[in-house]
Amino acid sequence: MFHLFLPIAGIVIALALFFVYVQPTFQEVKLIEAETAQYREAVGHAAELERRINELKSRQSSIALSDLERLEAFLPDRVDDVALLMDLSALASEHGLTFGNLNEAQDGADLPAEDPEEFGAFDDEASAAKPYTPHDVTFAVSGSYAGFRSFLADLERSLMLAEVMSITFTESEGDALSFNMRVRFYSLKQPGT
Amino acid sequence: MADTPKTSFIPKQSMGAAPGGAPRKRHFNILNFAGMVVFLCGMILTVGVFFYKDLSEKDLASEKQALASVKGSFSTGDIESLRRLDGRLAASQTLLDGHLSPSAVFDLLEERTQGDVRFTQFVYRRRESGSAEVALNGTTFRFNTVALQSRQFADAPAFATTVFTDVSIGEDGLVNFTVTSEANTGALRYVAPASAQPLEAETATSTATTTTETLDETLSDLDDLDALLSDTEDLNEGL
Repeated sequence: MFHLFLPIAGIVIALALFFVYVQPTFQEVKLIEAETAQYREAVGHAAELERRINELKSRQSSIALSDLERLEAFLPDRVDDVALLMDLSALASEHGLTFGNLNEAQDGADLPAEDPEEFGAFDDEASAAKPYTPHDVTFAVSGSYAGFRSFLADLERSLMLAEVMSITFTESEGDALSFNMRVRFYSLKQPGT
Repeated sequence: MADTPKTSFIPKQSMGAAPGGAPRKRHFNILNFAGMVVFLCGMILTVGVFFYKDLSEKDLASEKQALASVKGSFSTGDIESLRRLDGRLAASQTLLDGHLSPSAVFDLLEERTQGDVRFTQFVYRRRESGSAEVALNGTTFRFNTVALQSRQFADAPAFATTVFTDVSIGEDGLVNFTVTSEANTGALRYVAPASAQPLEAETATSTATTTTETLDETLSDLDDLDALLSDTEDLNEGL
């Protein structure tokens, strides 16, 4: 009877080891391997990302700084209202025009729009989807037609993009005309906004 | 038999020979064998799995370290900076594509207005959709002039459709009329002046155009980069 005990005990111990240690540990190892594979993939992506970033950075550094500065001026991070006012006023006076009646509105709500739905207030949903924020400025410039034409031409070519949204003027006695304008400037939206 | 040791008082029998003269029969026990095999297999599996787990854990630790090392080699600031530039380029391009020059409307009016027509009011309005309209109030001496003016505007490239309305004779005997025209945004699109060494103020937009084109081409890979970054971030978050 005793000679049966050893082989049976061996089998029992082997089975116990298998079910108590080997199988659960093997499952655990499989999970570790899956996690390792994910990390390996992430390392691959990160290495590729690093390579691409370095490549792009070297390309970026090959672009003239002045061009990048101009691009930033074209679409700035924020619109400086005071500087804008001064620039517009200076530009108007450069062309012999009198600058006045300034009115700023970021949401277009308080603009004297002729038809708010079509020409005035921004469409919030459409605006939210865009990567830039519009800043509308209404003002009037008074002076000669020729002065206004050259003022308008310079405004269209402005380093900071100025989109003329409306121009209204009527005939008047004498040479001086009063031109009411609404001009839209843009700033690049900040990340996360 | 010369090698067989001699004994003195123990029964005379050779030590090399089996008692009884015949060799004992060895039994092959299948149960013993199976038990031993199963036990050994169990032990080998146990030891193997132990070391395998250890190896896997070391492998995982090594990959984690590699990821941390690669991640540490670039800053998120670099990525943000590139993303920002890419966003600025794309937005600038969109804005430039929609940039209109209302000066073209005045050029057209100067070219095509009849000599005896006088405009008393001018309205240019840009819609949120990007289109634009021009409305004018005018006066002249004769109805014929209104008809001629209508023909002049009909084939004007800057005007897509032109409608003359409210044609009437005023108290002063002049013919009053209203012109409403849908601007042809294609014809009003801003065109940067071509010049070799332009002044900054005059060529800002053209420079921006050139810059965006150059940078856009240069950084065209950023879309792929974003996808790659997104994948990596997803993985990092998932882990």
